[in-house]
Amino acid sequence: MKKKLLLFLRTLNARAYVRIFGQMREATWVVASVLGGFFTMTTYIYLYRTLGTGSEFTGLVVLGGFMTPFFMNVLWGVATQLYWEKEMGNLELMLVSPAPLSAFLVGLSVGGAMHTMLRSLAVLFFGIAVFKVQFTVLHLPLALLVFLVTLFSMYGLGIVFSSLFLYHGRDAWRTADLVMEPTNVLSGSYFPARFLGLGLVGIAALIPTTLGLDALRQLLVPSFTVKVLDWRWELLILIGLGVVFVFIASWALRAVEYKARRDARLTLRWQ
Amino acid sequence: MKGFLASMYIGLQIESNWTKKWVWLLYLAAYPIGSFLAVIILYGVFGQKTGLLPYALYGTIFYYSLSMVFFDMAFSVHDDREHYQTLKYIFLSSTSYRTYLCGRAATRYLIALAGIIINLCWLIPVLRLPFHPNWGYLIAGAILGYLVAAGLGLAVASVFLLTIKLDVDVVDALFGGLFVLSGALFPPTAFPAVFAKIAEFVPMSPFIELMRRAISGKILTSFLSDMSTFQLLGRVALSAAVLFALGWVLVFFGSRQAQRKGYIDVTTAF
Repeated sequence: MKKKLLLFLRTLNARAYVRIFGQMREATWVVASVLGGFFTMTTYIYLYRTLGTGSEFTGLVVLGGFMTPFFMNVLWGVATQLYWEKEMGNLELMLVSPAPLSAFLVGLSVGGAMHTMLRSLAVLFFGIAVFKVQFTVLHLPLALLVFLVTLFSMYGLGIVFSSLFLYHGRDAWRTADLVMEPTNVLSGSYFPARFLGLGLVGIAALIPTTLGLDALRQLLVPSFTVKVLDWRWELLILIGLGVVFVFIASWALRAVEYKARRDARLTLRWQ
Repeated sequence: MKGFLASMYIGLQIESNWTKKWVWLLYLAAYPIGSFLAVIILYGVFGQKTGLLPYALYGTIFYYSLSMVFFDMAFSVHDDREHYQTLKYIFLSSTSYRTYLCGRAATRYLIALAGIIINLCWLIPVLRLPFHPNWGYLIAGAILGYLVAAGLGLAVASVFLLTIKLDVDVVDALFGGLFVLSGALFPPTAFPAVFAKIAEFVPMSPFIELMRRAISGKILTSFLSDMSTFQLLGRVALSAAVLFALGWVLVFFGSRQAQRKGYIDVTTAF
């Protein structure tokens, strides 16, 4: 048991290391992703100014800009990762090694969250500095708790998708591409999720960013009133979602890996 | 021409043969929705009184048509070299790499336009968007739009040829910056004066405004309103000629340099 745990942790560490330091080696990647996030944020801030909404919407967009890179990382850095590993020919090497695939995915998530943090903080910093946004720091520890629980839940969802995408080929990449923008919109990255209406919010709540962002806005933007639920309820739901995602992920990973082995899909490239 | 058509066919296969034909057709129709979903929600909730929904919706949709080409051309360098490892064979073939890129871009553009047309079929009646098309301007604009997008795409592709670790985030950032400035989503008059002036010279701005006027039959805001539709067409034609020529030359030099440096078949697993 101790040996297994040690192997799990070492795999986790190894994969997280590559994700954190590998991504830092290319300065253009960091600069481009920060600029990309900043431009998206700017677009929506000026859009709100055109629409004549209150200045509090600037704060909401800046928080959305802070959280969006995490979702992008979950989608492109975790969910589709096993597909990419398969395409690059690394997956078969990973599978014949004694390292568990789940440790690899958890490492990917931890590393991904850490390297995305730097970019998200840079987007947040520029958002605050350029658009003179003010947040209340009165509930900062609670906001941090909500943020971490949101990440746990988001990356749990990423691992669920990663397991499902393991079986698939190019359709996995296409699916991720298709859902990226609608998911961003539905999760309320650019506006309060409440405006979606109860039916759509119910569906959007399955994306952890939706409730996480809503809770963060309640805790950090004093004038934010159009909440979906009280942040305490949202925190509980996020914890529940995270636990459920972890269970589904662990089951799906085993089931899909078995199915992929049986159908000889693990080494099938470019399909 | 044969090489161009063959490249178009390859582009179509890459875009569509990952699934069944009927699923792909659904994908084709569903894909553009992501580009305008936020516009419908935001203008629906906050912007009903502004009357800017047609401006933003048409603008976003036509920007989407350009961005697809732009992104796909840049990404295809990385995809062919790193993912499919076929770039070296394309260079060895009798078709020039520029022709290949333009052929793939043409398919991507046609696919994007098909998705737009499908969605406009329900958007126009449901949202009561102004629709008084001037087919001449629409067709001319669509052809010139391809050249604008392909020119920009070729320019970015030349950079990708010379860099082996460049990520598509760079294209995303460029695409995001141009999206803000092009006035696709809101009139750039909302910007400080300097940026509003710069917006007029972003290559996509006149194309988007031309297509808006050509499809709606009216001038929707004061942005570029001092120019007649014919003048806009002239400016789009000029942008298209300059950008396409620039992109063509850049890929020519980029390809030569990439071959000299051995970047055609290098893989990094990044």
